[in-house]
Amino acid sequence: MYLSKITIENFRCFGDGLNRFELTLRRGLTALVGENDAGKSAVIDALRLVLGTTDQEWYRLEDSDFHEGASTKEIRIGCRFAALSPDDKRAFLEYLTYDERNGHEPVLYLNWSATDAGETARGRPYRRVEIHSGKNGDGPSIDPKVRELLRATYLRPLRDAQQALSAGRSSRLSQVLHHTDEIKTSGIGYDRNKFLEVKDLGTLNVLGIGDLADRLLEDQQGVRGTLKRINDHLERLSLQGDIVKGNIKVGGSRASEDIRLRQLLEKLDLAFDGGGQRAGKPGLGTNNLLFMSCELLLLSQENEGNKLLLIEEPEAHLHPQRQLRVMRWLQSQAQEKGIQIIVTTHSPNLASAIELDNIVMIHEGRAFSMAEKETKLDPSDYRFLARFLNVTKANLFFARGVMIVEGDAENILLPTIAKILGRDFTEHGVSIVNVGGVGLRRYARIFLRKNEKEDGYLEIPVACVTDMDVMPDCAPAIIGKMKEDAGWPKKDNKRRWRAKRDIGDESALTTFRREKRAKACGQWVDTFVSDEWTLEYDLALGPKDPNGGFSGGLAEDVFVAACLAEKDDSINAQKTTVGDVQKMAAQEFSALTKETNKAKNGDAKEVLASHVYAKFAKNSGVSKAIAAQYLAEKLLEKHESGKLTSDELRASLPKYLVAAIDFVTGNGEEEVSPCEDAPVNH
Amino acid sequence: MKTLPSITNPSLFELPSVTDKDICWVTSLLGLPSEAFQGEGGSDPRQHVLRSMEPIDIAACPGSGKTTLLVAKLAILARGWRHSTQGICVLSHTNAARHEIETRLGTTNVGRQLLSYPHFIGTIHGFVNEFLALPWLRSLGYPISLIDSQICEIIRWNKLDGKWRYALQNKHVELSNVRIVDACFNLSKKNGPFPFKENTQTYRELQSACQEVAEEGYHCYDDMFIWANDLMDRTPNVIQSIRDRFPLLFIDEAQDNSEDQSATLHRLFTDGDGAVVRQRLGDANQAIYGFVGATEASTERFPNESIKTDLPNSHRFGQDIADLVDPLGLAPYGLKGHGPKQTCSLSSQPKGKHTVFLFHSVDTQKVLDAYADLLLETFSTQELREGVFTAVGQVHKPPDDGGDEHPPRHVGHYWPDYDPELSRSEPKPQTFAQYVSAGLAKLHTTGETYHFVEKVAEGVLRLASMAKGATDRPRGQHNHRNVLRLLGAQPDFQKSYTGLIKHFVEHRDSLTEAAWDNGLETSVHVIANAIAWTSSDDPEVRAFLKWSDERINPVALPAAQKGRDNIYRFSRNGEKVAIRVGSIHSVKGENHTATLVLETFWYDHNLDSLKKWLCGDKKGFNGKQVRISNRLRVHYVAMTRPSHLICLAMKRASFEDEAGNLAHPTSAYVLRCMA
Repeated sequence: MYLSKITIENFRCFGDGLNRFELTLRRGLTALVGENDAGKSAVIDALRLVLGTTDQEWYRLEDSDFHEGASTKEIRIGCRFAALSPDDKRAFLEYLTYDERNGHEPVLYLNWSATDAGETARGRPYRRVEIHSGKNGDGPSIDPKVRELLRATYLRPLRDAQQALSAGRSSRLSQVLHHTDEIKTSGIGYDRNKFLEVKDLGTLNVLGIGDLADRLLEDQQGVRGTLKRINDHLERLSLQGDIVKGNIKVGGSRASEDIRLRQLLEKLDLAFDGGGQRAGKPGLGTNNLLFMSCELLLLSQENEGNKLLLIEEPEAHLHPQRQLRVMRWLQSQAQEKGIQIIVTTHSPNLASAIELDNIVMIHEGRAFSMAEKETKLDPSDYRFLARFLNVTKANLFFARGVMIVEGDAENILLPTIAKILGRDFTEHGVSIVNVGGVGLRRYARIFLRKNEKEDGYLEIPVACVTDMDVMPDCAPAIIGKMKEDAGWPKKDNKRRWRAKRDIGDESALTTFRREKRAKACGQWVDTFVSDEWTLEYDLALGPKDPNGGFSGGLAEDVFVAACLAEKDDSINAQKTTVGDVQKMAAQEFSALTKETNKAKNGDAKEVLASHVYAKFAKNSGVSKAIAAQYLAEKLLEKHESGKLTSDELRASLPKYLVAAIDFVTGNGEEEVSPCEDAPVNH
Repeated sequence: MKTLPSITNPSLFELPSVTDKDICWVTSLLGLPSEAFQGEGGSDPRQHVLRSMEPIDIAACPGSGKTTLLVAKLAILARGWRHSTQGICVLSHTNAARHEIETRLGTTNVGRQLLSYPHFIGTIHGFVNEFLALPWLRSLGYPISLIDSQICEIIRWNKLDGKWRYALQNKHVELSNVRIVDACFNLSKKNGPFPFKENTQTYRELQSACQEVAEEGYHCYDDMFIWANDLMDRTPNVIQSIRDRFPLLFIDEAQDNSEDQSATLHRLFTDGDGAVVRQRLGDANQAIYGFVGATEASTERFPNESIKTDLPNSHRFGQDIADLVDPLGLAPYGLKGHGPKQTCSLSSQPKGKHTVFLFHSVDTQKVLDAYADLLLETFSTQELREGVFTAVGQVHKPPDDGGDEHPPRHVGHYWPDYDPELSRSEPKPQTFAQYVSAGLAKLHTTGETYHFVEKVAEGVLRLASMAKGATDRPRGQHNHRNVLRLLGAQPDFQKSYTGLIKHFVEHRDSLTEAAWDNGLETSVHVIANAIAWTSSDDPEVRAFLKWSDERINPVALPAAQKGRDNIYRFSRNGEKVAIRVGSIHSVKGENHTATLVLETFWYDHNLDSLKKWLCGDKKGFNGKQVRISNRLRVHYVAMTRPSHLICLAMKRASFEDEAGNLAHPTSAYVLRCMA
């Protein structure tokens, strides 16, 4: 069986009624991801309360565990277990609920509640804790012996693996060993009355070895000799006819088998054997691995009851490559041994190694499963993301805002621009995901809920930034896509570009832009399409003013950056300097400006911006990424030297970039209006 | 006991085996003589019963120590039990086996284990409820507030419009003879076909009344078998789960199973492949329960001759009583009397002569005195003090219509003060005052206030349940806690409830009608209304709240500190004897020193119609007349109680010839005529 659903009310950050926490789980592995204080640990602690843990540690309810502002001081936690095996069915027979929606297949509900009526007992607050079965908690209360079957194995965050694995009283290692088949069944006991050949020593079981050692100790010459001397003294001291004799025994050797076995196992220490140079005391991380393998070993041997493993932050003390291995291993164990594993993690490393299906984002006290049919991702999206959702992109699971961009240029420029605008991405917890030109909207759909009515929205603003990719009519000639005097080329499959006149008039363009936006838009996800053509072109053109003209924005800066990128190799080889290139570029730009101003029609700015962009667009165009780097440096330098204020930059940026940055940093904290009604320009 | 380790696959159940060592251990645990289960040269069939792990039926004669044997076997099994989710199931009609384990093993480890998960020891009803009916009802969304046929029937009836009730009653359909037969609330009538077709409106009105009542959480006892079978119909896998959970089944008092019960148990445990190991214990000659309105079991009739083990030797009485009783067995198996055992106060020698008291109708009320005189003659002072002396009859209640023809008809004819209500092991109180009274009785016997509080709380809950639309009902346990919980949202009422309880406890010995009328009644009523979220002043409620002083204050009754007890006390010349008077049904399973069986009337005078068997002229019975076989079984039970002395009380006319002369057809009994 596996835990298929959990609901939590009035516990810590989770409220009640509509604000309660509800999560449907799948078999195998589930990873709870999300930023700090989202409620991941509260979910794990709730499970510890209901199920209890195999380490027998007692979770004491604190006053702060009751949700603040709840109308009643009653915590309610519900669990549902599904897919019961025949063994489970017989064990929980009297507690089962026959699920009507599922062919009356039995499921097991646990309803745990703790009520604080303000009473005290012996000076401590008294809270009534009850645990009932039945869908509505109207079934019989769960027998303590049955609760034993339900205990989960729990590994705490930053656990002290070393201590758990060291010899000592009730060490976890001794508990694990105590439960293994091998210890139970291998070897034979030691019989005091039978002579034991030396060659047979190896056939003894653990208890036998202990008993033999006790015997040898008691019979050791020195011990016997000393005993004799003690008794000699005693004899002289005692009265006639009242002989007192001492004897030496190994302490605890008369205790029950169970206790003796435990005491023997507690002598054992799990050390690390790395072969030669690395043998000895293992590091924290390695200990952690050993510890987890012990627990899994124990769990995989369970035949009855709940095979549930809760691990908080399995990444603790592990370097990234090992994290990945651990995660893969846990996933395979979950599958092969039928163990259910719930982990919480802050590690993009782990998150990237877990199948998207198994991830549950916890945000603001609510759970959002990434499983199929829960999101608007389609099956092909899952296949795609399984390949491409890597460590850097997995950041998105931990963000408060996500900016998804097409390529390196945006990836480099946008954080700098945002910083100058006073909307620093780092400060706002915004992750930027660079998709490298493939599958931009697939990432965005991760955040779109399929069952929005029940789930509500995942309230993390997600901005997709993409290009309009429609050039002004003057551009094809400028960037060499066609001869200036030739007629407009036919639209066919060979042509890889399009210009405004291909689309049509303003309203056709509006429709075109709206369609682009609609591919990922809704709930808290929105797509920001460049106002005109591409990032660089739009930066060079600047925002449209109310009269339909353009300011020319950052044309010179972009042009200079492009020139710098062009000469990047020479600069790095110190054949020329940044200053020289800048000087040259400035002259070139002013010449270009003069030339374009002579143009007959009123689109001088567009022509100029097209010329700037031609640097990137021509066949041997410069690297957009390197140019972006130079541009970012330049903007920052200008800002820091006071030559470019936030407002000035804001005014000269294309509108879509400003809107995207504002949106993702929560500068207008509302859900996205439905795409169809939305204004085209942000 | 040795069990092979089954760690690798615990879902495979391995039957344990019982060794000599185990038997030794259990005899000393139970404080029995070491040869208790051995017999001469190990010939006692009890040994075989203890060791057997096969399906067997154990036909145990009265006094054979059947329950002790079962307890011993369970103790052995529990000691070596190594399955954490599989257990032993012990079913019976009463909680006698459970009580026996509680008293004899309660403080031991094995006792505690047996009484808890994963085992089940209890009644068949309890089992069906816990494992099938209640989980299924909950799953279907029917709440379970109260399982009580009487209340459920009343509520069903109240749902019906007057005209439908009238129509039903016209065709002799009463609230108490309607049964639902399936999960769709189709109906049947006890003892006969249902007089309305399914498509008539009357039928449908009653049907939907039954459904509504179930939706409100009220159910009849018999409904539970319907729901259990419905679950088995819809998810047949549950049968396998039951068998997986309980691979070993004991059925005690198997002779008393009704057909409903037998069929359900058969389907659950033994039908088809993969039957569990079932061992039944009982005595077909003592089958006296389960026939009132139910049909005798035809499924897997007990005992199955092919797997039967007889325990014919009784430790209770000697061969003289065995010979007297044996003919009354339906299938006489040659009772052997190995008793009675010498105890500290009673000699092992049977005393006196088994006697028939013959009386004229006018002398009926002298019978008990005559019996008492005989007891004084027969037994020593110490024996009189410590022995158990009883007088019982098959019929102990006057008929509902109060009819008095055919005397002596019932036990009350011998002793007008006899109160049949007190005879039940725990009578169901009819008024709030009786709850208080029952609580006081428990408090006096146990010395624990808890029991008193529980009873008062139960009374409050019962009252609340009478108010229509109430949501929660007494469940037999934790009544006090339930009241507190139900009043959780109304702290003021909670406070006045605790105040009330405090008052009851503090003034428990001075609860008078005056005090009741002077506020107590109102408080109780107000609290009950608060629980029910409604107020009710039905005649039913008013009757429940009526005070009856004589029941409430045991101190006011000089006769007995513990209230009335149906004990007939007799003394002459300083010698005293106390005779417990009751029904035969109420003494089933008991040990007496001497038993007087009283003539009563059920379609005929019972003893009179059994005269041939009493005199040894007839042995056994396999005829068709149900009344005769019933009478035989009931009187077999009565006459196998005593260890020392059997007496009968019969009309003189039974032994008179046509001329009115006393005929002596028997030498087994002494005949004593009442003056």
